Amino acid sequence: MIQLEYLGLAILDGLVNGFSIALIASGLTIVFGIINIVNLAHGELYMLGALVSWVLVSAGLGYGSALIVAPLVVSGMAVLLNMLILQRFGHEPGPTMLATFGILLIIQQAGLAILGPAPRAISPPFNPPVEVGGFSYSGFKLFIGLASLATCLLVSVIFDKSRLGTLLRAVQENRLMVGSLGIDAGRVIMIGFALAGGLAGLAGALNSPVRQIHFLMGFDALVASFVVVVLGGMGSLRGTLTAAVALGLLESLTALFLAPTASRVVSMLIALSYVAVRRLGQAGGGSRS
Amino acid sequence: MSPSQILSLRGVSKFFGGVQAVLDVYLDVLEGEMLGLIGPNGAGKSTLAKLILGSLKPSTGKVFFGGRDITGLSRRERAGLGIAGTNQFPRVFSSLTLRENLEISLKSGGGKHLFESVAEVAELLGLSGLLEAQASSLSHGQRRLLEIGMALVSGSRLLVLDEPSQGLTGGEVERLASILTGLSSKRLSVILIDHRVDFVKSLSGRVGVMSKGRMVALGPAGDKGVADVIEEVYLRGLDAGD
Amino acid sequence: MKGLARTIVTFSIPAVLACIYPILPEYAKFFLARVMILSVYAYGYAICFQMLGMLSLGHAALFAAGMYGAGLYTIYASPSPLSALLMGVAAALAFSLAMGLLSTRVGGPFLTITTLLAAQALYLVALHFNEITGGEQGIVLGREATLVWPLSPWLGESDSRYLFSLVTLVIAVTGVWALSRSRLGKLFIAVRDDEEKLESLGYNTATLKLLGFALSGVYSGTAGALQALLYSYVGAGYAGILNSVEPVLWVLVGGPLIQVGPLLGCMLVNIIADLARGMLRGHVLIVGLGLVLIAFAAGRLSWAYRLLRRSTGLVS
Repeated sequence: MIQLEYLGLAILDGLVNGFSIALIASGLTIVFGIINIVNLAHGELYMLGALVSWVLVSAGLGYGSALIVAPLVVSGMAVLLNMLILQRFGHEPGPTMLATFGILLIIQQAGLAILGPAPRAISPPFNPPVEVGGFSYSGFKLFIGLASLATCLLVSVIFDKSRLGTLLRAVQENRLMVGSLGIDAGRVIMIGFALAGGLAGLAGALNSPVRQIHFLMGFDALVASFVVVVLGGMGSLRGTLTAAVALGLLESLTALFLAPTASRVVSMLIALSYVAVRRLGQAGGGSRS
Repeated sequence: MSPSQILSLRGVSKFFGGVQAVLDVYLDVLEGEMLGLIGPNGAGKSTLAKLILGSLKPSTGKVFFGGRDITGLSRRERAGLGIAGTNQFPRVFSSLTLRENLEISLKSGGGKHLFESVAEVAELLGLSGLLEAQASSLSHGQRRLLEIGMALVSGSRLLVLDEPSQGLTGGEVERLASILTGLSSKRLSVILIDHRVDFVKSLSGRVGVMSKGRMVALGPAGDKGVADVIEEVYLRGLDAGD
Repeated sequence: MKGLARTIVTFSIPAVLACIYPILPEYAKFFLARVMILSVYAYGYAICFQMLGMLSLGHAALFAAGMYGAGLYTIYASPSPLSALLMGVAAALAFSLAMGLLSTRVGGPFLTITTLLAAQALYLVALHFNEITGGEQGIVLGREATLVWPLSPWLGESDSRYLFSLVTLVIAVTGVWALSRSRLGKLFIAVRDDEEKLESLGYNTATLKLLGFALSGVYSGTAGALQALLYSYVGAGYAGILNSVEPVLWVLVGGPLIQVGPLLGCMLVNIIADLARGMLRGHVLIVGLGLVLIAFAAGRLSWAYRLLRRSTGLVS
């Protein structure tokens, strides 16, 4: 019999993880939404966020600097990536997918060169135990969860309400038409990449004190993001958040009974069955295209 | 239903959201006849073609083929019964040769075979010299003729041609007309949808006129009443400014 | 005559590989034997990607199913290499059918994502049961379980490996050569060109795609099983994503002719990667750079462009 305390902890942990995954996956969703491509290197942007934080903290600059610098650096990387490579073939899905996979491997190797093969760690700048409903929980993790959730909601509001959001959605609807309205679609796409990179970088920075900083951590994040965007609908930020929370809860609850790898396999199988049942990407399927 | 009817539409309508593309159409196509279908752009001709072929499902109404209710059957299942069609923009397998395109289509459908061999149909299409050419190298008109040839060898009993003369050169239109005339001895039913009124009238036994989703007239091609409706529909179409 | 020329080109590389064998130095023998096995995998991938136009990123799972099926059989059931080979192929076939059933229900980028997830699931399962599979470290199989063991009284280890790989390669090439000339092969290409049109001619394209996946699985599984039975090693690394993406590169580098392209591309990429092996994990970097370069080149290679467009676009 599982004690109620563990159940409560698992739910809280699941929520925090879910918000983190949502933060990572929303960048993937935004990029897919506006240019209809799957950026396979997105997970590596998350890894870079953690890597930059580790470098900064190791150099003696405080963790606070990482929270600001890492998103900026990674955002710049994403813009550069788009400018130097993806833009060159007009974001055609096929070549873009291949190129982003190549970039995934290259960034991974760069990560290996900087971090070395063993995982690195940095300690949380603050971590007071917080009493939540009769049991104590890591204060820093609570901070991660709340910061991730707040950012996700903020992005969602920007997307729905601001002029930038309108432009992003317009490019998503019809790139050609936007061009004829005198809006520079290329710049809007660039902003989308900058946003996606910034979010991934922030997620990396936020999670760096509680995860092992390792050159392969990006791929795990990519797989989790895929599960989320498949369940939540490609291009839908609200769907991403909902699906990410569901995934976080599912994985932390199944982790009460199963090993972490097994609970990840369970969530992947759920995503696969969902894809098959909904016939995504097929004529008459549920995809937004 | 008399046995000479191959296709019957019974009160078929199709709505896209709130837009009525096809409205309450009743239509019988007889075995071996060539039925022309004309009407201005947006009259619902292509949608009707898709409803017959099965790539769209009617919102209301029923479709019968050879006396059997086929309303719920998919495009593929209908092809298996012998309903073949061509598209507004010709679709052929561009990496395969002309011969391979025809070979794949041969015997794929369920009806009797109108042509014995690929060579025979290539001869009819006037494409014998291009049999080994890759379909991607063909001109628009040649692709169009190839797609018609593919439908002809597929063992079809009903052929739905959507705008077959579109984009063809003058010579190719003549070739198309002679192919279609030659089919009258084959006991194949054809629905010929085209925007060239004279072309349709010269080839078809009966002509149906569509306007704003409705079948507004249906009768012999030479019929005075039909001709009046055609004139009215096209004039009204022009007046409406679309 | 064009067909004859194509046939001669198709079998010329295996013929050369057979002829140069006596003069090869030991390392070249070892290297080429490995590349020949990987080429069988490349041909299997080409059936799925190049013929049917499905950009799978999960074929490592099919390779690994063959490898684990064969390898684990020799460890836990019987050290008989021939039945192990059959077990490996059967395991890959079963997994490819599962993946094929999934792939016939999704399109465009979702096919790529689902195959990737399916392969990653197998990889995690292999890690999870590491007492059985040996996890990342893997397991070294007993010598008597390998295919080269029965030949050892007559042939050295590297010679028998080379021989086995060459024979398998010739069978694989013959299979693809025959498939590309057959009606089934034409239908596969028709699925890639215009699936909806083929459906409208009365064909069940879902069945064709499933069949393509199964064939692809048999090829990939054979390569995986031989990897286990010739090199007496199984390891989860072969189920990883790198092993899924490499064949994409091989096929695209190899060129439009499916009878020779996969072999040519696989050899070329592996030779380049082998030359760079002195560098820090040079192999992965070469694959990464290769993918970026081929993405740029695809804009100029119309066949690659069309193939990628077909396999990644959403069906409207």
